[in-house]
Amino acid sequence: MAGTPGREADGVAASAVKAMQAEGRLAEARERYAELVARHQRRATRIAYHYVRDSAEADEAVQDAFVKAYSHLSTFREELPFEVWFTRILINGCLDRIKARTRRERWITSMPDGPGGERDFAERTPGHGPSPEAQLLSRERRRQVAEAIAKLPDRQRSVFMLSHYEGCTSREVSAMTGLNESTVRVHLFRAIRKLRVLLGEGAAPAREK
Amino acid sequence: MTGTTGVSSEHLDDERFAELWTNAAAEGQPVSHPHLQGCAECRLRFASFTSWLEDLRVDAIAEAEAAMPADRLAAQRSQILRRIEAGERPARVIAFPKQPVEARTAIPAPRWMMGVAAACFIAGLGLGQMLDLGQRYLAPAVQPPQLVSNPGVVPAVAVMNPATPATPATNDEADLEELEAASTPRYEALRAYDNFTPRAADFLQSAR
Repeated sequence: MAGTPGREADGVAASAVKAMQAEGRLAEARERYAELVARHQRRATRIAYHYVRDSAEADEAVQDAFVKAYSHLSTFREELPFEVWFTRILINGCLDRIKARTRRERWITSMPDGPGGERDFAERTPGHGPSPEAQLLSRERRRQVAEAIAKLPDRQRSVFMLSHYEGCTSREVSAMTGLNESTVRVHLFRAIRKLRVLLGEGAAPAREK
Repeated sequence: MTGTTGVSSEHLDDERFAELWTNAAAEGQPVSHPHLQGCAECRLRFASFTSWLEDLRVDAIAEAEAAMPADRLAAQRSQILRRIEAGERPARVIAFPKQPVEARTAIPAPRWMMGVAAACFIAGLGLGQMLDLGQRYLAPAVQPPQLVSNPGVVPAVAVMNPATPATPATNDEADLEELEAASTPRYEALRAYDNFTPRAADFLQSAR
């Protein structure tokens, strides 16, 4: 998460955009809002990608969230950091997309991963990175992790991703998800415990000294 | 989640590690536990645990970053700003396509045509009404049927004579006598049978 100076800057920028919108200085408001977009875009895309697991859909989700945040900026209250308020909009959008996709997949059979897939193309592109064996192992590991995370209940997954991947505190996660702080901790603890079991790393029983 | 205990003889298990890590992460503080400070084995295992978690994080972030490279992020940013700008523009009302002027002049002036059509319609209605009324009042004077004897051919058959006008002054007796006269046979052979048949005049006289 952004540090305190970053948050203060966000708050100032968001308030300024709000005031400009109210005064009808829309071009200036857009210009100022572009700063906020640039500051939070990467993190927002990461969060969206962890949710929807598809780059195109994550892109759309982030766009929607920024557009929605701009048009509802009048409801933004300064006591909450902008990124927390915005992340909540983003998460709700991602969850809606997941629901819609689940409904679609009931009726439409998804195409199997083939050589024409976006990710496959990227993976097949030669580069100067790690060896093919290392890439294969890394890919396999990522696949296992993604599958394990996908098996977590929604709330545990959200809390784990926000807490661990994005470094949010339980208070911030609570504000983003609407869950109680102690509930956030319980979900995080259970998510880690379950991931240890699912990924085969959890066989470490306590022993007597 | 179990509560935090003090220094214990038991090594910490995975669940305890998860609890310690969760509490620390939730507070945004580093992990500290008395047992970890005194037990090298648990410290090592806990380091392995945190390293596993850190690997998960690094992998997840790397994957997400790879999915959205810098050029896509730049395109996304400009798309966001375009959408915002498009949303702020007032909605344009697209005018319905009008007919060209040439086409409009080619059409004959519709007003006088409509006037003529309306006048013809009203005149037709009036004429129709007048004809209808005329037929209605004239028809009873021509139509009433009347029974008239036709002595030339078939004396016993009553024939409708539309040409004869109605005579409201004719009384019942005259009608009956007329009928009887018409129905009297002209042949001698039938005259005897006719004499047996009672006459209307006889009944009328006896009644008087």
